[in-house]
Amino acid sequence: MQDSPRHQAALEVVAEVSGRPVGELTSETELVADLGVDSAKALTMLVELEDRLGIEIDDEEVTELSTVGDVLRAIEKL
Amino acid sequence: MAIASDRLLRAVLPVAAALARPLIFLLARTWRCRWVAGEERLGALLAAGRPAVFVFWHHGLYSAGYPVLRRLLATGAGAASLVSQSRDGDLAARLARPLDLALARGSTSRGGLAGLRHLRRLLLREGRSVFAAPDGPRGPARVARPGTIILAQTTGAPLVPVAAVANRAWRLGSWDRLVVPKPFARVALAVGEPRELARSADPQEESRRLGETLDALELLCEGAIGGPRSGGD
Repeated sequence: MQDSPRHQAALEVVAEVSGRPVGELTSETELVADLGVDSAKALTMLVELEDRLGIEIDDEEVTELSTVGDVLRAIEKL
Repeated sequence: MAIASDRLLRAVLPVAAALARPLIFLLARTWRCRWVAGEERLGALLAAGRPAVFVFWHHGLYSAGYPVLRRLLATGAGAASLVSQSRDGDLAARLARPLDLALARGSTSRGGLAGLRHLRRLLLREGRSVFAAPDGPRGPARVARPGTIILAQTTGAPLVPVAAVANRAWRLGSWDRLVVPKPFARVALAVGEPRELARSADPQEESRRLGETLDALELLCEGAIGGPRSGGD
């Protein structure tokens, strides 16, 4: 995975919300199956991503997020 | 056959809602509401004009949620709620149409995340208070899930628990055993202490605490009403 400050911040958010160390996360890590991200955790994750990175992720984009790599690609587009 | 019945239901729904709407509003006007706790704090909260997240058990949608909603709307403030994308949600959305209540569609099973994000935007951008049942839209009854907690945490809006018990009420056969107070029923209402939740607070722990608070408020109402309990089982 790339290591830009934005990516790093996003990984920290995913790690905090899921309770897993950043080092365990890969692009292929599944948000639901591997990290147990339910809709409540997903809301926290998205809010933290948007607030910390000063971005807004579209609802349509959100439905496409299934892996950590998807999250990183989504924030890269913004 | 299934398609035919679906079409029939879709056709009947607007008519049923149009017929039920005035009856429910009229019925609610006959209730003799009495605040047994928290009326002053509710008044102060509404006077401050700051949006809040009002929470009540799903069975108290009419008995607890509606009286507070009416009081809030009377101040000119806006409100928002989450309704499911099911047919029940369609009916609820149609019933709420005359009220200044912005609706986000979604549930924990379908579109919940989008619904919660929509509610958050309505609160932050339009200053609307949120009315939500933490055990909705499908239960289990009286088990608070963390969606409303996270909403309060991530908006900074105070979380305000509300409960009610009526001395005479119909109990529907739905999962929540929805309470509809009968005409001229005495309804005891209680509003708990508004709480601002830190972002670092554990949503699961806060959900458990919220459930205990709602149950305690309901018991308080039950004691005040001095009659058969109709707030919960």
